[in-house]
Amino acid sequence: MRGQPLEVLQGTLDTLMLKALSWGPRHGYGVASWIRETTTDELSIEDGALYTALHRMEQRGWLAATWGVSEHNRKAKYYELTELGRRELKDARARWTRYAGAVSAVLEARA
Amino acid sequence: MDPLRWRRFGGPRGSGLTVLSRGIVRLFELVARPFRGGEAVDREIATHLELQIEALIAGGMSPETARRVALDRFGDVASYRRGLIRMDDKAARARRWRAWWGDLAQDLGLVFRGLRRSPGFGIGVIATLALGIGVNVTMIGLVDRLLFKAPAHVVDPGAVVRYTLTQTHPSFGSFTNASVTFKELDLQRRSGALTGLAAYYPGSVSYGRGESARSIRASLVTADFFGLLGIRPATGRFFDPADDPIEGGSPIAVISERLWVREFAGSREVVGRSLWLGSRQYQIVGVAPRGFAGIDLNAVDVWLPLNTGAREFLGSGDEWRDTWDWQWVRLVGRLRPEATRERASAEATALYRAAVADHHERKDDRGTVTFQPLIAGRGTDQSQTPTIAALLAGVSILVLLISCANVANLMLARGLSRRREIAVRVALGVGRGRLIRATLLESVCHAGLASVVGLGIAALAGSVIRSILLPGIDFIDPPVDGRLLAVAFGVALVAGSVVGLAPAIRLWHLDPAADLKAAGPTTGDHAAARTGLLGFQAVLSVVMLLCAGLYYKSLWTAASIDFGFRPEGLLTADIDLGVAGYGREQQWAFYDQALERVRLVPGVASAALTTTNPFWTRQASSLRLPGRDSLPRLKTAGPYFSAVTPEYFATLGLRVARGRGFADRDNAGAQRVMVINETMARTYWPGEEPIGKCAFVGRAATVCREVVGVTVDASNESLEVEPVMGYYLPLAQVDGLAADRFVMIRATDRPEAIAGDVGRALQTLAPNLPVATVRLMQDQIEPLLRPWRLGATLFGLMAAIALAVALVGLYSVLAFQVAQRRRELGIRTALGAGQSELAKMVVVQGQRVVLTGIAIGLVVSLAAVKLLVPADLLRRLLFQTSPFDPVVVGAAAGSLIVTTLLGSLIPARRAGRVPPMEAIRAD
Repeated sequence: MRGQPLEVLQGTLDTLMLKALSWGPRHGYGVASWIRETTTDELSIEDGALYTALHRMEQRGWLAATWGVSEHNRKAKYYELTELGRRELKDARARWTRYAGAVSAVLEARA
Repeated sequence: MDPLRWRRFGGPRGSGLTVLSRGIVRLFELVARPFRGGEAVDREIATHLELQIEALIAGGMSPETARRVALDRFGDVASYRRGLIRMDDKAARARRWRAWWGDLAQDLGLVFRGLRRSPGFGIGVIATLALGIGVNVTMIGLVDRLLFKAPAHVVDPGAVVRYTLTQTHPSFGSFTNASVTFKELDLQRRSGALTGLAAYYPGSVSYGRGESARSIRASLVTADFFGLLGIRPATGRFFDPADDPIEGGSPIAVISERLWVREFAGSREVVGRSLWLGSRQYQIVGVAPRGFAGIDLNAVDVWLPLNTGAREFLGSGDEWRDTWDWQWVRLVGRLRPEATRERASAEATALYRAAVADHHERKDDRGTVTFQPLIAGRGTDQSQTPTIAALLAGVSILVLLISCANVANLMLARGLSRRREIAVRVALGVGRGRLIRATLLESVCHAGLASVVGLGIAALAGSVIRSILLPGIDFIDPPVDGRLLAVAFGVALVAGSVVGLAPAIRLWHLDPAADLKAAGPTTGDHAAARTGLLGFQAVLSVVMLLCAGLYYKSLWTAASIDFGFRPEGLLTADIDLGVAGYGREQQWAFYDQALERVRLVPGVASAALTTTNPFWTRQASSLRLPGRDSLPRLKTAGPYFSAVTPEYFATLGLRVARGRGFADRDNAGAQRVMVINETMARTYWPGEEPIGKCAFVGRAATVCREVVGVTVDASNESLEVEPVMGYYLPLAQVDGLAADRFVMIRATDRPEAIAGDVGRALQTLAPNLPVATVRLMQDQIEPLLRPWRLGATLFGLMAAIALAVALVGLYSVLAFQVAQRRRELGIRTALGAGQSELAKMVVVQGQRVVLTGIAIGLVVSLAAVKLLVPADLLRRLLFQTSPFDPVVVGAAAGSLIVTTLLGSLIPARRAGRVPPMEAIRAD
């Protein structure tokens, strides 16, 4: 069953992107396409919003950015997790699991 | 940024690496920094869209559709772009600030580490600047207090004005007086430009009784004095008009907060208590607020109602109320909000001229009233002290400049020895701006520390100057206040920036490559700048020395002035008999006895009685000449008189030039006689023989007094050379004109040795009396010398500091140059140059700079005096001393030359002793 793509909350988007970067440095397009592939287009995220989040997280010190050359010889900005970012990913994941667990518990409760 | 480097690392079309290792990416970013601001965001978005489109096309889409889908997925490109650029800019700004503060903290750390590592340099710099700042702050504080600060507690001091009257005399020019007749008070109260006009009369009064009695400053004031100024009492009340009727007022007083605390321990019950002033008890009705001590520089401790007080302290009945002859009160008014000082002055002038128009004695159609501002008016008293203090403050800036030049020189020298270190820092990528900032920061820090030390110096020097050089002025506020703190730090900031400028300019023109290659510092570097600074110091020092010299000359001239009598060896004595309840007749009888008693004291050569005490009191009476309607007036007013016993002229050493002095036969029953001085003879009877002429002395006089002698002029008021008319009456024929008595005593030897004996001799006449006041005539003259002493001492001190700083500066420059030129000097020695020849070279080098400085300094300062300073100001600033006095000019130049010689001695000796081989091998 495939309905309208789901809206994503900002905090959740950050977490997804941190996850996308957990395998190593990627440029913005790499992050966008990874999320798109992984979620099989279930989530409706504008690519521009991804960049806003990347810049924001860079300024918070979760990501470090460097300029490099992409697959097709294009100058691209590569992002990678900093130690701070890695910790944030861990925390966010734990928070999400608790949250989802709690929500599921309520939804699946009987009487 | 640099395109060359960018390409070296294989830019966009470079090596074709797919993934760059993290290290290389980092290095790449460090060196190349390919984008800034919007450019980076554009590049990032473009790359994203390009990659997306390529991927979509590869997935089978047509390019058109792929482009549309990519843009669609991205969202509103323009809006995202703006947001990203904003975010990046903000972040970049924050980064720059953080870096700036970080660098600053680091540089500050360097400054203090440097101070710890080489304390000598830091201490030298700080001490030199502290001297300069200290001297400046001291002087500015003094001038601020003397000239600029409004009296405390006065409401809207800008609207308060002082009344001054300028009279013009056909032969003496114009003169301005702040002391005016009492008639002018009633007259000017009619003015429509003023909301009020009050009068006050500052003086002194004996306070207390018996042995503890002493003199305090009192001011007689009209009832509206405090109200006009807007002062509120700390406790109790001030005067009401009802308190001060023309006759029969009761004795009441307002005291200062200082007296309240000192004598009554600040007790609330002080109102209603009494204090002894002169011969009466006064009931205290109120206390002035803390810090208010009148509106003149001399602090007042007690205020009395004018009518009641004048009756007591002026004697002579009511004469002062209704005469144009007595100029004594000072007037202070408050302008209406819409009035200007000019309008008020014009109106007051018109009132004055109309009032005196039909008054033949005073007919004065050129008299001009000027309302002066309250603050500027603080300088209107006779003393030159405020003017000289202002000059001192101006010149003290020179001391600061000299210190700055010296410190700049030190910093340049250190800059040279640190050039390799600096070159290394530059090569390591430390920016030039950062280095310059660090240099300026260092000098400002030094100056900041110096200002703290300088404030200490100012606090100390301020209180010393106040107590030793300006004892006549009672300062209430502390020597260093908030205003001075601000001044000190302001001066430090400016001085620090100026001092750091020279090394900073050097850094600007830095050539790291050359500095790295150079074996060590070389001599040629900035020699011109350093020599220039040295010459500049010489110029300023010579100006300081000139000032000091001129004031020493003024002091010397003033101290050795011919008074017409011989003040050295003279004593004066009096006892406040009113306190003991003696009536007039009893007092006079007492003094006749006292004179006989004092003559018996061993060491007394002669003694006489007089009714006025030179430099202390003086007295005038109305005087008419038979057959004349009006008499010529002098700028110095007068004539003033003294009634004296026959030995007076001999005791004072006052020469009777023509005719005779007084003798015992000039007694109460004999023909009335008088002796006049040469100025009076010349003024009243020009070209005639005055002896044998006669004058009516005193308003009620019916007998014409015969002039029997003419004395030389005797100064009895000030050091001014303006001639003063004076005359003498036999004490036996004084006819009630004068109440006071003083004993004048000439000692055979040192007067201070017999002062105690004289006092005790008087005391034995009446054991219950207060202590007799015995003063040296020299001590009475001393306050008149004070402005010149102030100038001489402080200029002398500043000149000494300037010389010391210049000496150190010269020494360090020469010593440094000798050290730099060791190699050259060694070679010269090896080639046969003698020790003395090399030493001479160094001395000549120093002298050349200083002599040029002296020449410039002399020419500039003398030209400035000639062209810029009005002659009458110069006359007030220097006591009968020409600014071009050859002895002073010579001494100023000479002392600087000697100082230079001293400064070059050690470097010169060193220059001659460089061992040839060692010096050559050294490099």
